[in-house]
Amino acid sequence: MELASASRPDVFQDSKSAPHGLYIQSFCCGLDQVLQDYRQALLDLEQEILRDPHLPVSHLQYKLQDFQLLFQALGAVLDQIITHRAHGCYLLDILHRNAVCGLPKVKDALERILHVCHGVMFKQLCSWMLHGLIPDPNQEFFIQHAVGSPTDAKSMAKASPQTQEDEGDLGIMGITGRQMQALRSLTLPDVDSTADLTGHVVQAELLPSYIPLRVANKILFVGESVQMFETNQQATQHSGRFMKGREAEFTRDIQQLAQQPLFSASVFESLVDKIRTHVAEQLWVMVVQEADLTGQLRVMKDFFLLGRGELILAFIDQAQHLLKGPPTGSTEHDVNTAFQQAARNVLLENEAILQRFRLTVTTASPTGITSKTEEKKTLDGAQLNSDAAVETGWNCLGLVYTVQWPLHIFFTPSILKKYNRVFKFLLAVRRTQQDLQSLWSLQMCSKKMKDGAHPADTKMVWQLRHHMSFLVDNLQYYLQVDVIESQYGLLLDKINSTRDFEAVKLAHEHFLAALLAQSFVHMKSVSHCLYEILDLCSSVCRLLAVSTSPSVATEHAQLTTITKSFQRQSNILFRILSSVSSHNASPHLTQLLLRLDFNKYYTAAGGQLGSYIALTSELQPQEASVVFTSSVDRTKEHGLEACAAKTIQSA
Amino acid sequence: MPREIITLQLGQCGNQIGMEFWKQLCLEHGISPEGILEEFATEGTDRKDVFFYQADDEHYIPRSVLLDLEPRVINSIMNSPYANLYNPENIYLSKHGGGAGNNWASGYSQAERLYDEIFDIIDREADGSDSLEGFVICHSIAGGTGSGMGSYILERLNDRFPKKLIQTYSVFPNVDEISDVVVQPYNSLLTLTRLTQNADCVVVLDNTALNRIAADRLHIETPTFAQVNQLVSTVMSTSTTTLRYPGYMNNDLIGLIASLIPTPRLHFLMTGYTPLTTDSQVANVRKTTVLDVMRRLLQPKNMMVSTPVHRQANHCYISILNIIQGEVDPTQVHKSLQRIRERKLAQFIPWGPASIQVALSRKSPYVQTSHRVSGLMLANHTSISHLFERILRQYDKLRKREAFMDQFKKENIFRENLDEFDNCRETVQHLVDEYQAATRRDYLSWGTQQAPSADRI
Repeated sequence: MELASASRPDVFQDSKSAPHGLYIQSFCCGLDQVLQDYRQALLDLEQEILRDPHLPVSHLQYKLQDFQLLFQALGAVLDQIITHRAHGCYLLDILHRNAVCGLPKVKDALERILHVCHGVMFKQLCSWMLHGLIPDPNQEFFIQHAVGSPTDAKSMAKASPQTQEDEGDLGIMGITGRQMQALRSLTLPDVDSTADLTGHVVQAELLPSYIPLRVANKILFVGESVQMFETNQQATQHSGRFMKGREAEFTRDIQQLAQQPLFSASVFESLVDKIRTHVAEQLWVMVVQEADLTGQLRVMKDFFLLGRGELILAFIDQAQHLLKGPPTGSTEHDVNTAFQQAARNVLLENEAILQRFRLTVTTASPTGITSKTEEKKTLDGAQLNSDAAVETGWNCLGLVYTVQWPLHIFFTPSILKKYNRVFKFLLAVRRTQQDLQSLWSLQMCSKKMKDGAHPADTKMVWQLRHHMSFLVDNLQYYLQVDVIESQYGLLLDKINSTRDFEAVKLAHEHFLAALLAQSFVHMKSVSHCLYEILDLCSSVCRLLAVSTSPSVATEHAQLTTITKSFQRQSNILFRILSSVSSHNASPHLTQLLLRLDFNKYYTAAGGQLGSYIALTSELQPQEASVVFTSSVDRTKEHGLEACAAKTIQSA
Repeated sequence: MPREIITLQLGQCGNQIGMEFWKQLCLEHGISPEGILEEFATEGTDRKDVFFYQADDEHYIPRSVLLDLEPRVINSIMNSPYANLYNPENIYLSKHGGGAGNNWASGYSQAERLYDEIFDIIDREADGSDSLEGFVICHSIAGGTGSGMGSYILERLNDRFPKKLIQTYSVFPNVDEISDVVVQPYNSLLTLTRLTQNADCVVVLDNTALNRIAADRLHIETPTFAQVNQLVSTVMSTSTTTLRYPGYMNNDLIGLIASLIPTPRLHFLMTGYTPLTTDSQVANVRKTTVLDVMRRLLQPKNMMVSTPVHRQANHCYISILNIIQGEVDPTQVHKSLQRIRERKLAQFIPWGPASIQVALSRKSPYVQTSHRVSGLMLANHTSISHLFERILRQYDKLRKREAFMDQFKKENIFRENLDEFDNCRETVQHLVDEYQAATRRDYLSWGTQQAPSADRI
């Protein structure tokens, strides 16, 4: 009797976090049921004693022997509940743990209590999985609404380093802790994406240990998917037919399972699987078939991955003057106008899709990053940094996309952020390529020159441009064909070969991960090197835009500096690419190397490109101008020597 | 800003291949011979505006200028179903209609006299485009109009539109058959000089090779003009396919050719195409993978330039661009490149980096082909200098005898002296030398060796 009264909830009423809620109530019910036997036994004994007043005490002891063991066990359970302040589904865990017991009576009793408690869980499960609702006033179910404020704060906190990091990507690498941020951004999105969706999470502390986390995640997925339909207004035409009339069947299944005296994890999981498969297929039908996922992916590829080359080309033309300098307040608006204009110029028919894209210009905060840039640039060459120190509008440019229902479950903000990072890199490559091409057309003008009138260094400048555009062109081909087209093909294959939404989503995540990895966005050493090379190419283009051959000594000096940096960077790139190619860890590095070193010139040249050898590099600037006017022959000889030296080297 | 391209069709040959080119483009874009978009083609995502513009009544009109000094070919166009396709204002026929008599000098001076009229048309056409990217000229270098007038127009285009690209599709004469144009070597030499100095990119279409391909590969005993021209139009339309079907790369002319041309003079490109079929022939179904296509493109027999195959000169590729159309597994590209490199199927320059660039392009949905994959190769190969040497040799033979010089001396440019011939010979010789130097490791110092000696003179 002590025990029975101890289990009454009012005992706890004074304590601060009094156990309350459905589970504890049902636990009490269960306990009551179990104690019913005891009460019955007492009644029986009473009858016996009335009938036979000489009944020995040993008989009583014998009759109640079993209960002594049972009460001890139940008492232990109660103690645990009290000390752990067990709440909600955690109660199930305690019961289940204690039910693993060698004493049949105890085992049986605890299982009966557990069964009663499971009744609550199955009810909640049923309403969650079939209707997306949790009748859970006391937060006891193992799936909980994510608490609002912490997640918001988390995503806020995440947003700011992310943008900073993205800016860092374009200009300058080598920021300490950037890797850290990358790691953080890698781990965070998973939590984030679920929170972004509907704000439900699996509460690990409430999840009974006998339900594996994977099953819990499946339950979460099902509920969220259903909820998305039940709550969304747009879904009115979808809702109802989402379960395709299988609610009754699933409800019956769950009820049947609830009536089973023994809880079987495997049966439970197979039921969850059954429902999940159905839901995932419905989602697949909705996302892939009705929302035309492949069409959407095409759009993403066309815009974020520069699939519509002609649009990007037109846009670069339109926006060149807007983004050359550092961005101002109105830049973002102007750039978007330019983007719309470019799209109209290339006769993009689908206005609706276009409206969903918006370019952003994130003004760089004057933090340590910028100062580091300046430092770095000064090291590279004092003359170079005059305009590079300030972030140009191009480097701040990003692309955002407004996703339409129901694809928001597919293109989550974190996914779009990844797309944006690839976009930024691809755009930088594309722009450099275009700069080099316009330099090419300037250089082509010399085809008219009288034969042999090219000074030796003009030829060297051609050569430098040739090497630079070779590198950039092949990088571009590598990115577009070897990476994007190949991965995109794989993704489409996967989408078409399955009918499961989650598999599609996973394939898409793999696709993005592969893009980020193979475009080296996540590989600091390579991407740093590539960005440096792109910078150098742009510098050359700027320098030579005025005159195709360097005429002034200062230009010469600058060109020499650029060339040397280019040689160094291309050498670093070569070493990275060839060192990794020895093992199979990252085959894509070998793929890029194959393109860059196709005729083995890269190797033959000692792993560096850019053979512009400034003829006057050894001379003082004031001397150099004299040299250029008077002793042409001397410079020529220098050139020959240099070339000869190179030839020997490469041989 | 569609980066428009204006096509100039000059002379008999230029107009013939031009006509085939427009036929092919109309077919690929679903435009009827009258310039009306077909019902089935209204949903296309192709870019017709690069080569066409729309008239007030929605008709598509080619950005094309047709010039000739004699009426035969243009009349035949005007009597074809495509008569109403072109803007009649863009068709210019000289009033006397007497042609250029297969004489370069005549074509050149006539063009000089017609300067205002010709450039009225070109200027108007150029003003009609938002951001003109350049000109494409179709002509032959052997006759009179295409070569002479073509030379003159090339020079003037350079002056008037210094920032615009000029690409030419130049038909080189057949050396296997005896030509009815006896002064062919003169014409070729004079034109070749302009192509060297005034064009940014010359796609060489060698009639010798085209006829050989028609005979050997397509099994046509005596190939007709139309059949040969169809080969040409295939090359032309495929090489512009990335401009017309937007993809991720090579969306403008400069992007297409800049990577192929490392130094300004070495801008003569060869083409190769596979699989080769004609209308009448049902393609025999072959296995076509990316590797197959790329391998076949490297075979000399598929090249549309015939060069003697002898090994002593170490001729090599300066650059290669393969445009591959059809159902292609992009992952195969890398494997094919790897295989070609392993097997050393292509010899490249030793003095700079070079590779095979592979652009995967969309195909017109309206043209049904029996092959799954087709490919075009644009290649800068040093052996093209053989073609120029051949012209030089033939020229020297004629020049030694001062043969047929009278016709040339009649015209202004040669009235005083024949210096023009000597200058041109020097230029072409220099071009040959440069191409040969490009096979050697010391190419980069080659120009500089020449320069001091020139200075001293």
